Amino acid sequence: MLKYTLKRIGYAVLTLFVLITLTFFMMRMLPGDPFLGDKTVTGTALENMKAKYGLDKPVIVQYFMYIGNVCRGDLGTSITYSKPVRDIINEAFVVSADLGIRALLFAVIFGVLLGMVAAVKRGSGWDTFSMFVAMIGVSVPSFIMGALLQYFLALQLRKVFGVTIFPVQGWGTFSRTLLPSFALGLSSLATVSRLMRTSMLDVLNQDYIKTAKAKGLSGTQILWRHTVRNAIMPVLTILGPTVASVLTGTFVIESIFNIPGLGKYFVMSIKDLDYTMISGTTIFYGGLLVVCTLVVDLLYGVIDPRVKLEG
Amino acid sequence: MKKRALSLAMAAIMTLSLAACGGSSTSTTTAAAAAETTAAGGSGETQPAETVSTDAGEKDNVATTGTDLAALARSETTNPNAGQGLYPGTAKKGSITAEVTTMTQMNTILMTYNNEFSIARHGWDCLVKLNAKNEIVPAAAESWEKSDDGMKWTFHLRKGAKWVDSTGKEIGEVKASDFVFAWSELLNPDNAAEYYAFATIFKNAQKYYDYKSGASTEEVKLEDVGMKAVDDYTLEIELENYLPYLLQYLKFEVMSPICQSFYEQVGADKYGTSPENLAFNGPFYMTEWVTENRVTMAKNPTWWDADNVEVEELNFVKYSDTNTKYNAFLGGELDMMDVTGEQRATFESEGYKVTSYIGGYSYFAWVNNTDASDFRSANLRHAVSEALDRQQLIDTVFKNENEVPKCLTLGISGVKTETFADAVVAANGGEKLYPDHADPAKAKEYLDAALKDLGYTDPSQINITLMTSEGTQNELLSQVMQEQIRQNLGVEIKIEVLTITEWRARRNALQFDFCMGGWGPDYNDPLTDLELLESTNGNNHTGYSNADYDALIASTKEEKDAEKREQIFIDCEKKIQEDMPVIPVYWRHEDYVASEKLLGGFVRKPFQAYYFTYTDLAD
Repeated sequence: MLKYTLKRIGYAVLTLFVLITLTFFMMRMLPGDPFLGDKTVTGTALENMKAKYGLDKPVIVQYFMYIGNVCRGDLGTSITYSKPVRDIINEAFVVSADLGIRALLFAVIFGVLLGMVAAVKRGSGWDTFSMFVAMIGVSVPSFIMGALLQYFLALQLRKVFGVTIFPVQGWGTFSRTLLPSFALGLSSLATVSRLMRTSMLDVLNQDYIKTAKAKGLSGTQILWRHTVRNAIMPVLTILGPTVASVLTGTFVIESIFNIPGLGKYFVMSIKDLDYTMISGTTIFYGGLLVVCTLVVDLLYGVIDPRVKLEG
Repeated sequence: MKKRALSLAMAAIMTLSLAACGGSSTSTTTAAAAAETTAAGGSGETQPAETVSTDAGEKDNVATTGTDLAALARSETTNPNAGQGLYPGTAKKGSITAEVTTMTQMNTILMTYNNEFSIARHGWDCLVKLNAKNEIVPAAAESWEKSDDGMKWTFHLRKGAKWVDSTGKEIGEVKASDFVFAWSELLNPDNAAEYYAFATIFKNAQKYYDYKSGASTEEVKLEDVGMKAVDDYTLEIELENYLPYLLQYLKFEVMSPICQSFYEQVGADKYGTSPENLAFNGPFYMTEWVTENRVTMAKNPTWWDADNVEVEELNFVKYSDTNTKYNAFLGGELDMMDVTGEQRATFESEGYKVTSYIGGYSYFAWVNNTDASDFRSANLRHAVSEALDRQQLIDTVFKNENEVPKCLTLGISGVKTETFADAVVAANGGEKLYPDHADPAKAKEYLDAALKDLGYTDPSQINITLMTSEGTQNELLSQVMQEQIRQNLGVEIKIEVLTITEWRARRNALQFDFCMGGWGPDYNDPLTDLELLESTNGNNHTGYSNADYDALIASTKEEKDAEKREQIFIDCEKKIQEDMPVIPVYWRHEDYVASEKLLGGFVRKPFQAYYFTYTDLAD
């Protein structure tokens, strides 16, 4: 187990190093430079701007300096914003993570409940409803869902009641978090609910459920102690990939609901050729995904002792 | 209902896919500094007009003081939609929310974008400001006088003005030395301020900058630069060259003062990175800045004219998606937004009036005048200009009040006329310099001459490409131009679409035939536009190098008679029309709607994209 963990951490560090190196040299190959504004800066002023961000040195020197700084936890100063990249990521990722966690909680809690109800009341209206939700969740992309929610729940409801119930956009108050969390979490909710339903049905047909019934346990006891506990295992295993897809999927939702998250920097920094910001966000997202995968892999061993982690 | 939902979904998909293509309209971030308004002056504490000397470049009849600035602002602008009951605006009392597109820097010396200047205009008082009629009025300075040769100026600062921090707490008095300090930081190479050149108007300032940058070995000390705080309330300025529009420079937001003691306390690295690291002397102070999302400002009760300010809070919000912005306005979360041609039509169909103003952005095609392009033939440039149907282009692409250019320069005041463009038209016998519609016959004449110039026998030998930056509107504009040139000239041009950075890199390196560009004025003088085509100007992306034109521009820097000076600028305009180093295409009008909460008094003008201080609010 220890050997395996160390090996995986080693791979993770190597992955990040390759990522940093590739990003660093690839972005330098993009045409243009960060100081290409609509107005042209030339001569001494341009030299001073390059010197301010260390871009006056040879690229290979810049590379080693950058690697050195990253190892010390310094991601440099953003050229566009003249402030530390780390501060910008801190400020924005808190918001993205907040949105992501809300969406995940919504997806898991309601997904599991919906799946359970659909399985227990198989063939009923609940089952059809859960199927319907899953269809919508899987087939309607989050940005369409966002636009529809904005139109119906924010604008039309406001027209009907004369007061704002769900704000159109923004962040910072509870009512503003509802629509974006819903739009972001819906597709994961669909996946979770279908998985839960299948898994529940599978468990309900097991012999030990019959045994439990035969023992004379009450319906509630059978449901919670025997069915749900066993059925929820597959849901836990897809949590890792779901976390990753929610965290990387926030960009579109952040854009539609005008939420000050990290996603837009990832895109805008490339457009602005803000070198430090491009590397900073790439390393951050890269690191996040590497850590997520690592944790999930290691957790398999913890949750299910049958999985042997060998080095 | 279902059908409606579907069409809505389709619209959403389309909007998003458009947004994904870049969406930026024709190179709008141009000239960071376009103008904006500011009313200063000051009701309540007015002074006799005689104490304020007007500048050579200014009109003599300017009422600089003695006018109630708030009253002036309110008589200048009224909201045509007020009281309709359609869009009442944001709910919070005393608060205004307006849209911004770019805000990356809050340190005034590092600002380059028009929206940043708009924010700065509310947070800081420069020595002077613009009122609602774009006239220079006192702000941090109460009065000033100049020497007979106009090279030495003395400004007397308003006494008792305070610096406040992001909580509104007083942290000191505004001193003359705070201006000197801000300008010295502008000239400090470590800050690498893009707009440092605004501080090089002072004597020895350029030499000081070069010396500090290591570009020159001649030692110049800061004390030798022509800016001195004689005492706390007296500021002396000595100019390097005669500058008829000095006050227009001093109102520019990068010339805002910086509280020296505060700056030194937080450190140069930290200053301006958050509201906590900024100090303000303007009508508002910043309480919150969420990067790339929102700036919130609160009324500064210590500001000298605070009694006349009704607005308690300002929010400048950046929207990442145009559809969201539109929905925010409909949903009462936004009070003022710029609208597209389509949105304009929707509002008007509801009976909600859309207002249009000139921000000062003049759009033209940069043309490569060098031997590298077929456009080396001036006749070909004229042929293309005659082949363009400018009005049709505006109606097809923009669907708004954009104008066919009367001349290159837009948004600049005239000496005797309201605008400089009016003076150009008057000098041209009442005719615009550029026609509304295409003239295929004239275009073909020019084309024949161009073929001779180039040594071609057939128009198909002409090889020109229109370089375009990504964005739906940019690409549509290019296609319309391509089609007009095909129809009216019989010449097939190619279109090349590039990312904005590559587009700029190629434009700066003169690796193109022609491409659309725009320019907004930095200060209220025709020079701000016309010096673009000077052969030595870093922003001259044409390769145009004409000794006569350079001589004209040079002579405007010596001429002290305002009317004669204006005549030289008119000659410049005519020279541009004759040589056509750039092809003027349209003047941009910005369309916006204001919620009914804003009754009037806000300013939207060149040099003052936003000025909300004297806004009259409903309730």
